[in-house]
Amino acid sequence: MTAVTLTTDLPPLAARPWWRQWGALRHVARLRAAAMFAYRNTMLLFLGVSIVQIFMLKKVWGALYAARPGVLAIPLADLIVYLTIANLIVWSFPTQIVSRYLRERIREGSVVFDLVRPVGFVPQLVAQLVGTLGGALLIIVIALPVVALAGSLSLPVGAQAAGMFAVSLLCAYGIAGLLSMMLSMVAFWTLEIDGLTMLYVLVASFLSGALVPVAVFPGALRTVVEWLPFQATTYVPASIYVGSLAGPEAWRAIGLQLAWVVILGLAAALMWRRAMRRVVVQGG
Amino acid sequence: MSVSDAVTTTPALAEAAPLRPTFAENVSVTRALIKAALRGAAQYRLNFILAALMGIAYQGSGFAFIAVVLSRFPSIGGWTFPEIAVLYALRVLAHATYLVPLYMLNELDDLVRNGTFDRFLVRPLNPLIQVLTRRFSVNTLGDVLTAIGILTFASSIAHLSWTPAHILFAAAAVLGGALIEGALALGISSLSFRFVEVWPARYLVDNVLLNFGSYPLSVFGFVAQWALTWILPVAFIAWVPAAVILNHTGGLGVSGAIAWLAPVVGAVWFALSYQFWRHELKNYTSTGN
Repeated sequence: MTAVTLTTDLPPLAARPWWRQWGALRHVARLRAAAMFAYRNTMLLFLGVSIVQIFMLKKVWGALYAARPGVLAIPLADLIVYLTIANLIVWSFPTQIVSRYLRERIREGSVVFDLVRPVGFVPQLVAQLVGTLGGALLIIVIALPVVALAGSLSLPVGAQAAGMFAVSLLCAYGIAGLLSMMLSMVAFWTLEIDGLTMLYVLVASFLSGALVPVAVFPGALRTVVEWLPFQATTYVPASIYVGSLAGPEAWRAIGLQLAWVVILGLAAALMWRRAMRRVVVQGG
Repeated sequence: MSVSDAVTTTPALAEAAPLRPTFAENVSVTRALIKAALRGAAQYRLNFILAALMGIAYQGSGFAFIAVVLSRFPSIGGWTFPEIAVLYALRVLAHATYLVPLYMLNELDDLVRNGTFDRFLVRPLNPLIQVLTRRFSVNTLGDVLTAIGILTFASSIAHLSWTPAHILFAAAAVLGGALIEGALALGISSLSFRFVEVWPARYLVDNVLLNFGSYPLSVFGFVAQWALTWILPVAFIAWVPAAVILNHTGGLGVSGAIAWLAPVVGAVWFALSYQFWRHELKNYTSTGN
């Protein structure tokens, strides 16, 4: 086995900046979305597990509200819609698929082909994330009747809420995408990230508010949750959707989401430069 | 080394006359295989720790959810936090008891697909034991640690009355719960002799156990409760035994007397499942050549 070390002073192969490579990037995204359908049985299975979880949450929260109504400001019917939307959002995050793809590429050494393509590696990764997301959203639309039966669905509370939800959801995908990109990049150092990804998915979905609205977390834990980026990926858009977060408070939450996009974007860029300095290509 | 001893002596015996090794020989070979598997797992320290952490996070996150919501609400389906903690502890304990010896069933798909399973059929030891002792999986240790942690915590807050009968029952119930999970895993794995890929079924059942097994099943409505008692025996893994230990047998859907028989359910299911395994094993056709 030989190891080739890539340095950053390779001749510049990327002739055109990424914004002039739409065609190529769109192709990457489309292939990724198609791959989702190639594995549709697996994807449907994971969705099935999410639906089982939504049903479980609906029943458990119903029992909690029956034991003591009025603990939370949000009515039970809205909470069920919130939980349904939140779990669908979490399910659609492409974290596991993209991190598994990158791990394979790094372990086999085929990441070298991704790196020397005239399209930059980061735009490729973003295109992959977008493609995976597109595929996931299409599957959700197909499965919506079953989801509505297991949980509960309704339209957003109003036109303004719908608009704000769209903006907030876009930010949420930005944050989740950046987090999963950073997670995937850990593989440049460790080669192995399967365990870490699973740990991340567990912790992130618990702290995101997909099981428990953030308002329920007690004392210090709530402060921690509010200061972490996970709630901005799920709690904020789902709360806006059902109207429990509205008006200036909702705008402030969206502002915070944008701040997270900037902070995590900078962190990911820094991590990327570090990673490129120590890429080891395996194989030979 | 004891492994090589065992391996070289058995074929010699087989040549002598009886192909079937004695019980004592079976035991000593099994013990040697377990030792080798443990030594193998201890080679990778960091992986060891990470895998154990994963096990803790997996089982612990469900408990964290319950702890968080019950810090604000008084009960779920009439069960208070200490009671649910006991229920959860029993479930994770049963899960750990099942997982430590039977984890390798998860890899039967792979063994069948790449033809490795052929080897197990020509060796003079029960193929099931050979599958189980292939490797020792470390994430099971995380489950064991979580189980002990939650059990200690639950018994410190729940004011349990531990009569000898209760202690005996609890131990039997954990074993019974483990046998139920083991029966389901064995039954599903047996199908891989026919269908090769069966991990989706296993994944779905695992999630149903994880999602529903930690709550009083009466919460999920009559149909779900009935199905999770009589079709998929989730009720008998932890809910029914916990109700007996806590003297909380109202609303179980089975009478108090039957509730005391919960451990037997596991034994029956496992016996049936093992018969099914033996039956399906006859259908095994090698994938390779």
